[in-house]
Amino acid sequence: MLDTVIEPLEFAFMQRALLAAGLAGLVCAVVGIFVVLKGMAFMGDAVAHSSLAGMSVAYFFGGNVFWGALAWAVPASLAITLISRRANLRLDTAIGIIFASGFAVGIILMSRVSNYTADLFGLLFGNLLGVSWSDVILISVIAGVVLLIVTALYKELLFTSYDSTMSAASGIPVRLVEYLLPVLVGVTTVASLKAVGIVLVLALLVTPAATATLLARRLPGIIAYSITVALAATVAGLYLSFYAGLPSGPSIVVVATGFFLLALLFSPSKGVLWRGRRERLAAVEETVG
Amino acid sequence: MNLLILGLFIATLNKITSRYLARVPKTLTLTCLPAAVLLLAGCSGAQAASVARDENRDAILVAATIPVLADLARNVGGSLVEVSSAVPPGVDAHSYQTTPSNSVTISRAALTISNGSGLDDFLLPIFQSARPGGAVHVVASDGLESQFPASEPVISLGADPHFWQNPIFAIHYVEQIRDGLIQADPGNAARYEKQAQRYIASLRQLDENIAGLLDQVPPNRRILVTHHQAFSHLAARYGWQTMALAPGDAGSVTPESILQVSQKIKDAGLSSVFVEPRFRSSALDQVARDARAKVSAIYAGLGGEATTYVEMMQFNARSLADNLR
Repeated sequence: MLDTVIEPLEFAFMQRALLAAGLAGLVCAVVGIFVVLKGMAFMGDAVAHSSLAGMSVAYFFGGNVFWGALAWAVPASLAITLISRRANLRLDTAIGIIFASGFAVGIILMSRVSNYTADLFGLLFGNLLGVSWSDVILISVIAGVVLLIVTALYKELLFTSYDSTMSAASGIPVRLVEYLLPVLVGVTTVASLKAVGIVLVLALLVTPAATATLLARRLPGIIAYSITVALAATVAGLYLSFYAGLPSGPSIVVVATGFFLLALLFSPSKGVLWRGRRERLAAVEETVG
Repeated sequence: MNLLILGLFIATLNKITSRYLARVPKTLTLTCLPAAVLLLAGCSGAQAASVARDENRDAILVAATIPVLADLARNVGGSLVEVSSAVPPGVDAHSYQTTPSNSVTISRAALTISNGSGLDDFLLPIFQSARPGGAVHVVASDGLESQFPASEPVISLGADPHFWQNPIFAIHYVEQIRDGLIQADPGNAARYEKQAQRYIASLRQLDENIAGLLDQVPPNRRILVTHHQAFSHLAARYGWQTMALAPGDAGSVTPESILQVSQKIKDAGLSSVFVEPRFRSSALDQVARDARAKVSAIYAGLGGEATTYVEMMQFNARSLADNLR
């Protein structure tokens, strides 16, 4: 039994994969909560897809793909907020514009690279088993900065997530938070690209946070559950991938989705299974009352 | 180094969680612990890994990126080697997602082999991440790229990394692999030399057979039309022309390339175009239908009927000869 737990960890590539995915999952779990509460899930998706353009530019000129993605993600997330405010469009419309245009530019550039467009699939689906120590350090630095900002602005983020009109009235810099949050989402997304790639990063951002909202009502509880689900999914997903011979990034996502379904069914307050019972209880209370 | 990073990770994890966990039941904190415990367990076991020689069979382990390289290595190494390929046969290398078992295999290899020239670059991080320190690495196409002036009307030969489609270049691969095996396992140098020599002789024979088959096609119809350009070295070796709908591998067919290819098929009166069975191309199907040509099979790498390198090359030559004659 203990061997089963220890064996994968004897390999340095598994240690790095676990660290990289764990850090990415951790920061996604925290930032994801505000994403879920504010209903901006596709912000993360948009930034991930449009940063293909930044990656392609970096790839084209032989630079580091990671910095290319980051250099693209921050302006892209600012542009989404700016377009939606200035043009008076809904956020999802602005996201649609940025998402598709960045991805299109990315594909055009990739098809111009004269030699083999080698790691297009690596960018799309991640390369968790190929993570190097410098990647792990990079991810931890980004994760650390993002978590520091979230901690520092915890109160502001908390108020604006639940009621932005009220918080504006009580003197919280709503405008700042409105521009900052998308940037945090963008940076978080890029940090997670190494682990799960452009296509699956959304799951890391949304699924643990969504699971947590089914299990707790208050923000501290939601954060704790979200982190727990993300880390448990990372560890369980990697072990599943190791013993069942499955690709690592997708395994993590599948396990996280499993946790979400379990929470959906069994959550004490919102679980689908208890609904009948809750309704009956309510009916009894009504007749008695 | 590892220990330091793991420690830092756990420390920050604790700090962050404890902050958020202040108002949550203790049971939750406990669920976070297994992750930390697992990470710690990793530190203690980290030094135990990596075996270069398969204890049972006394064969050295060789890990290649793609099946065609594995097949060449098997022919050079014979019973002295145990060869595996990261990408399984018949699978599109570019959409293949490696699994931890691939990395485990690589981490025990005494020799690793990649094609190079951009073809399998996307697998290199996986190999670099898992390869043991003492392992020998061979880039099979090293030394071939420079042989080409990059000036061909349709596509530059240097941009096509499928060098093995020319048996003479496959011999170069075999020599590279032989040298790698000798470096990794010097005790058996003589046997590797001998086995490589025998295999090279059979590749020379293969080269002659292909030339004989392809000579059956009338010179004005020696044009190989495919979806993506993987056969320029085959064509160049036997004096053929090739044309592809999509130049690189990203599958970007442009209206211009469709027009050019259609025109070529009509002008030369080609009775067939060629596609790898696993990469059915709807664009090429359509072009062929419009030009009243059929779509026949050809293999760039191993898979389907092409179970070994030699079989693949013979299949391709027969397919070209039978369908364009």
